[in-house]
Amino acid sequence: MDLTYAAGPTQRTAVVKSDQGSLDTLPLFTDGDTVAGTVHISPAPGKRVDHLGVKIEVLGQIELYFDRGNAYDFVSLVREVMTPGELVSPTSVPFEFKDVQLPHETYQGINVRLRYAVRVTMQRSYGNTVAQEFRFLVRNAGIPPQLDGPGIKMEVGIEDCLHIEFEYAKAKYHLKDVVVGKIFFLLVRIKIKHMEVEIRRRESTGSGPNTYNESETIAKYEVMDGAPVRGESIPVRLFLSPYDLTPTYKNVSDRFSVKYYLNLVLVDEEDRRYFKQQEITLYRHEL
Amino acid sequence: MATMNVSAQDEQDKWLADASSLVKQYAFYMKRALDDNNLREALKQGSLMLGELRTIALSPQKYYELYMQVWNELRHLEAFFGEEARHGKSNLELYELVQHAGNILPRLYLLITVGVVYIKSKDGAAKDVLKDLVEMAKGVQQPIHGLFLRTYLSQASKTLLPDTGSEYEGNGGNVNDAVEFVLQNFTEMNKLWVRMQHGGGNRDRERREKERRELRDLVGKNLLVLTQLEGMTLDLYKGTVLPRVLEQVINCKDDIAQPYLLDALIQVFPDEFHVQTLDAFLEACPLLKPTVKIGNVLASLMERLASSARDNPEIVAQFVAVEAFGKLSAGCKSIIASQPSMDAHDRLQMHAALMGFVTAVHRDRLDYVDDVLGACADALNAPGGGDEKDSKENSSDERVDRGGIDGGAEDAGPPMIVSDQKGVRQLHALLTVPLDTYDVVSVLGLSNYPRVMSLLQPANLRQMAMTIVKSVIREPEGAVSDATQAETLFRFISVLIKDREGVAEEVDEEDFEEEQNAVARLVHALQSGDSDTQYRLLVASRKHFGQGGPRRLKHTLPPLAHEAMRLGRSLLARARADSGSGDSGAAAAAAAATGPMGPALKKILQFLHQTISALAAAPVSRHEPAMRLFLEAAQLADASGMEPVAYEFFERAMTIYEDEISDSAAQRSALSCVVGALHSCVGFTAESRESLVHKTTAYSARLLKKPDQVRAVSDCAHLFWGPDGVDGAARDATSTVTCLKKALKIAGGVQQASLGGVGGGGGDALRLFIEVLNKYLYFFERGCPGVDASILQGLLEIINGELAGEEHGVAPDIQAYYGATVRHIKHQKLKGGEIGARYQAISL
Amino acid sequence: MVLVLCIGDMHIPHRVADLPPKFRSLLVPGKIQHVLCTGDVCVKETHDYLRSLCADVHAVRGNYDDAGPDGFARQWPDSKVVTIGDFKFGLVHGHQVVPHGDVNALAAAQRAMNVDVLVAGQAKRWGAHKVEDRLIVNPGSATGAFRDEDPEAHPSFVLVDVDGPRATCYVYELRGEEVKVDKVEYSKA
Repeated sequence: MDLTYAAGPTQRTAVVKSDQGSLDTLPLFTDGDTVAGTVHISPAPGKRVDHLGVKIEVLGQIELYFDRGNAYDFVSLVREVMTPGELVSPTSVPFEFKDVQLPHETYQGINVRLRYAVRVTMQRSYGNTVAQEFRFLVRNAGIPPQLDGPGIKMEVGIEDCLHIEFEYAKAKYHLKDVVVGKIFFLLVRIKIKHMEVEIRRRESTGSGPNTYNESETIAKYEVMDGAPVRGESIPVRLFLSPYDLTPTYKNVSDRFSVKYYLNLVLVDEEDRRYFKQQEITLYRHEL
Repeated sequence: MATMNVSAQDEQDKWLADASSLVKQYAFYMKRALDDNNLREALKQGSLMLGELRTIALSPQKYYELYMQVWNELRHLEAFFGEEARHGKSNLELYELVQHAGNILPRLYLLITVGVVYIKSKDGAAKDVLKDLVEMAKGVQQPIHGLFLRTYLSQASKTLLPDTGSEYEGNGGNVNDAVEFVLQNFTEMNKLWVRMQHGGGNRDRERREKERRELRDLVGKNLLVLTQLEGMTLDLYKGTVLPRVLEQVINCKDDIAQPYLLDALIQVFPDEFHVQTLDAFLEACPLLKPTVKIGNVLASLMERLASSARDNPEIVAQFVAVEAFGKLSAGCKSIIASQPSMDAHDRLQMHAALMGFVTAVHRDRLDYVDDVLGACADALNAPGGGDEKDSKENSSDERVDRGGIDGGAEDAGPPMIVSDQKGVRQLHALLTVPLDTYDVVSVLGLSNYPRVMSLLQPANLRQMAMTIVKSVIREPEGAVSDATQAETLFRFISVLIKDREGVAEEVDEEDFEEEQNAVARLVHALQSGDSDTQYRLLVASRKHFGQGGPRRLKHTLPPLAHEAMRLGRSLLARARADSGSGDSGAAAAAAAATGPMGPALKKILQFLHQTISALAAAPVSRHEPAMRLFLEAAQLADASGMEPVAYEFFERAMTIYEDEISDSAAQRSALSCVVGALHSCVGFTAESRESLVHKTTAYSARLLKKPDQVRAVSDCAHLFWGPDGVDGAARDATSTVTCLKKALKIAGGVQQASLGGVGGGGGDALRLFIEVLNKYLYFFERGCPGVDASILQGLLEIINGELAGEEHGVAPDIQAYYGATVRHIKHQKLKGGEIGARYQAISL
Repeated sequence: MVLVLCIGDMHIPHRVADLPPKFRSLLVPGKIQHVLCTGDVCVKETHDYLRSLCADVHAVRGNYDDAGPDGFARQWPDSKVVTIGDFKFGLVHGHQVVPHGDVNALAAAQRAMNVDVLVAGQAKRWGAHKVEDRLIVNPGSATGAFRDEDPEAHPSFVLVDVDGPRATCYVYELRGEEVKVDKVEYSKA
């Protein structure tokens, strides 16, 4: 079984990393797109295939890793494309799902994943079914929320040791944006070795009392080498494009959320770490 | 401890070697990627390579070596960046791409490298790119990393600054942007450099300071870049550069940075700028750390300005217009006030430089010199400041001698002792510079000069006194022309002229000789155009020299005597000119004595008598000089018509001869001087003359060796036959002949003695005969009656006889002598006229 | 060419302070082969200066030189004969020749010494006298020490260029600020 899309070579695609670490190129759709194409079924040469009908589904599901098998389908659209019959030779059947609601983005997370696929199922006798899934990606560019909102400015410290004021120009960034800011040192009594900004992703799965959080560090970006003195102002310019980021996901089908944080880390000469984490909102501004 | 250092050095070498080989490796891969036009890979390897510069294990010198290696490799990368066709990214894309590097140090090196390409391509405005780079570099706060990174930035951007007239001007900015960029880089580099002082504990401080000194030019170079900008104008310097640099200098509060940077400012920017910004500079000085030797910096500035004035006299007008001296002078005072713990050396150095400035710039302002001396004296708490100025006349004498405290300036504290070699050299130089530039006596007369001189310890006063003496000698004649000036001078050099009270000074023989010779030469510098004043000068000198003791008198009195005689002769010349009685001879002499110059001449002769007698009486004196001087004085007295005085002088000379001169060669020599002097005298009465001549001939006849007797006696013949054409000259033919006969007789005695086998060969006698013959010829030529051809003929025969009779042959030189004499006679025969006629009578 | 410097009667420091600077700058080491000094140098310093000009320095005693037991001139003779090239030079101060400055007396002394050129001092100013077939040269005072007695007694010295049978005497005289040079030619018969 095989599937081709109507758009053919002009079909939008995107590249993602697979579970095994290799790179896959998959078709990309966005919310409200028409998913249309052609199903190609080829029996084995010389064989006759009897079937009880072929249907095609557009699926969107959320799967929690600790609860595999219990995927939650939030999108499920079915069409029958072939009536029961017999196949002797390769057959192509067109399909079309118009203006499909694809509300969430594909997401491959730490403990959860959200995936889309076109599933072609052939019903055979004796309850046998032959099915094949064709994954596709969904990304939704959102209207940037409050473009000229306030940035982040904060003073933080440890009494008698370290006192800094950090500032990030914006609180909300698109995925190809640049985090621009500066760190101003008000009091430095410790021997700093270097300072870096981490981008951290916090994934929350479940809800209510069963919420499970797990974080990972997506990026480490050194912004200062060596020890500053009081009064120094260190610039920050962190490009987001090189990193594998997704927009902030709030409560996807009440199943999971993905939040992003900037973590400012200062390391002293004894390798002690002083940090201050600050949430930022990421959004997608274009496909 | 030594071994520790060696192994530390070994460790350093090892680390460097390791890092270096890694750099080489990464560079190899990077270049391979470049050949493949693989941007991504090249950046990756490049980052790894640059990562080696993140080391903190290397000393600055070693780090520099690693840096240079990396720098070389980066050039390949830069070339690659510049060829868009090979990597397909626009400059702007590249600029972003390199900022993805995770570690900041490689990131910034790459960014600067892209920045260079960006600016060169004119895609990016120079000022914007440069501003970004210098700003982003702030992320590197580790001092050595930061200094070298910013050095890279500075080097890379040097030709890309939007200077006036550069290709990057216009859209790329203008010189103000260039200045802003460089100033920022400079400021950050200085902060990092200063910060190096504070890492680590006290033990390492020496090492850290050494490392800082190794790196200081990295910081200073930024100033050089500024001064080399085409668009660097005085206004820009005054309005922007100087205030910013001074601000950084003051704020960094660092002992090493402050003097280094100020000095760099002075050296790097042109003098015209410094002249016009003196106020700003001087205002900053007191704001520096009290531990900084700001005196040295100011001295450096003043030296620079002085040197500039010497090279370009046109700039002097600028100095005057801005009242540079006043400002510098005030600046020095305020610095000293703000740093009460400043040591004597630094105070002296400042004032020496200020003095250098004054003498180079204000060649006509002796009052400025006095100000500088006064300021220096005040700075070192020399007594006599402020309200004591009025009483300078009477007190400076004691001050110079005592070198002590007499409670002058208000609460100044005791005078600072300057006795070490360096300090003495400085003080000495400070006192000498004005002497070299201005008229010596005026300088000595400055109210503050003795104050500064009093700071010298007695042991060093001699050297200073010698310098003063040498300066006076160098001046054109007439430098010291009246008694007051002489008194001033003598006061200053009193240490050379007399011993200090109660102190027996140990002086090296040679040095003492040198000193006294210098003082002797000094005497000739005392010249006044007016004879009364000149006399007073001599008297004043005599008074001072008189206090010098016998060791000094033998050096100081002879020149004084000669100067007195010089004065006498000038009076004599005037007398002769006035009287019109001719230049010589008895009549002229008489006229001089009775003329208006008479009393003055007498005074001089009295002075001479007293002076030469003192010389003769001094126990360590040799007696010949005194005797010669008496003889010369006698001739002067004779020419002045003062017969008794002349007689007295001759008597004194002869007394010395009799009592003190016993060596026969010395006697011979002395006698010829007596004869010479007496021969020229014209004013003696017959009795006086006879008495003197008689004595002289008696001495001559009593000489130890007979040959000497012959010569001396024959010389005495001249005493009876004075110089030609001089009225009053002796003309006693009879005595002349008698004298010559006497000489001949003694010669005969010599011959007899030799025949008897007693002493001397026949040669001696023969020679003597020929000598006497020549003497006879002398008088014969002058037509002295009684000296006639027959005597000569007789003598010739004796000589010929001797020549023939010599058994062992005659010595060749005697042969030659006789031969020459004969030739002379022949020559005279051929002369014609009176002489030729006279000589005809002699036949050979 | 062989240069012989005839110089003397400096009388430093008794009559004058120093050698004229213009002379000092002319008389530098390496140019002169012989120095004949007529005496009355007066102090060791001046003698040392002459010795700095070349290796061959001859000096005779003047009446003001310190020839006492510790005197620097105690080794100096009263007169000396020096042969340079084809010429015999006689060197004497001149105070021993009476009357002082009398050419005839000097000529007699020359005959006694049997020299072609007699170099004598003592006279107030320079002089060169050809007497029969010989030459008497007085270099005068190098410092003008007698200028008060004779206004024409300018500082002077003589440089003799000995070349085969010719001796050319160059007389250097400092008149005011200018150094004037006179020439006296002398050849051996």
